[in-house]
Amino acid sequence: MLILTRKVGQSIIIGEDIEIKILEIVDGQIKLGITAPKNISVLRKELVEIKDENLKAATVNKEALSQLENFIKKH
Amino acid sequence: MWETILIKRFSFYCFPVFPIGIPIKPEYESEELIMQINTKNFGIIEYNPDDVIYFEEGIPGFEDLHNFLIITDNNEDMPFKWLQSIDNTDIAFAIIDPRVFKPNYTFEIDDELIQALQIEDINHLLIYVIVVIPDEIEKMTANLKAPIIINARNNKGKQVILDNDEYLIKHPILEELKNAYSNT
Repeated sequence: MLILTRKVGQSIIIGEDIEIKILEIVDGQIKLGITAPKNISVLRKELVEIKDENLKAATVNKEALSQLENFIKKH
Repeated sequence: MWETILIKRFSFYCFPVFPIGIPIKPEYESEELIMQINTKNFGIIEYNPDDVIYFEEGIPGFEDLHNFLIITDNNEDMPFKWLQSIDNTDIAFAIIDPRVFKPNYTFEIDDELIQALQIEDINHLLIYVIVVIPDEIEKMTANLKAPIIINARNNKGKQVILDNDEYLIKHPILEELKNAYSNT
């Protein structure tokens, strides 16, 4: 991992056309400004994790349903 | 109808949980408008269009699915409900009110959410988390980091990502569920 130290107002450039600028730091929260071409997707990492988790959750099958019901009855 | 159920529901923070949403085999009066879908998991479901919950942005990973129903089992002991997609009838999520097993589950409701769901009173809100049921059912987890919030007043819903490191995306729920049951 490349580690850089930046101050408010400074930026880093990735490739030729992606710029990430430190806009503000308040109470441990950092506000970033990201300039990138439209075809580059910029997502909070949690969102990607939530997507993956939702995809897993959506594949419930009937067997799991009846298992779950039995399970509840038992306990 | 909604309101009386809601008041009942929120007067009990923990147990017992009254089933809300619509039963799998509802009995409607004949003059009401009834719609029907054929679902992969529950067969044919009849519903009243007023019960449809609208997710304007879909949910992450399913951005094209906007219309859902909450389905309850007729079994009152069943703390799980189902968030059934109408747009893709193969898709249903197991959901549970996190306060069933975590009575102190809380989060901040920010302006963005208030606007998105047009919230007037937080007592109108239904809160669920999505459950992942793996083959080994003992390992089931709930996504406490990203609750499903529904404004029962206008049936608008949204999955919110909390800015809270305490709540996990994969929170094991089995032990807490057992404890919740043994305390009643």
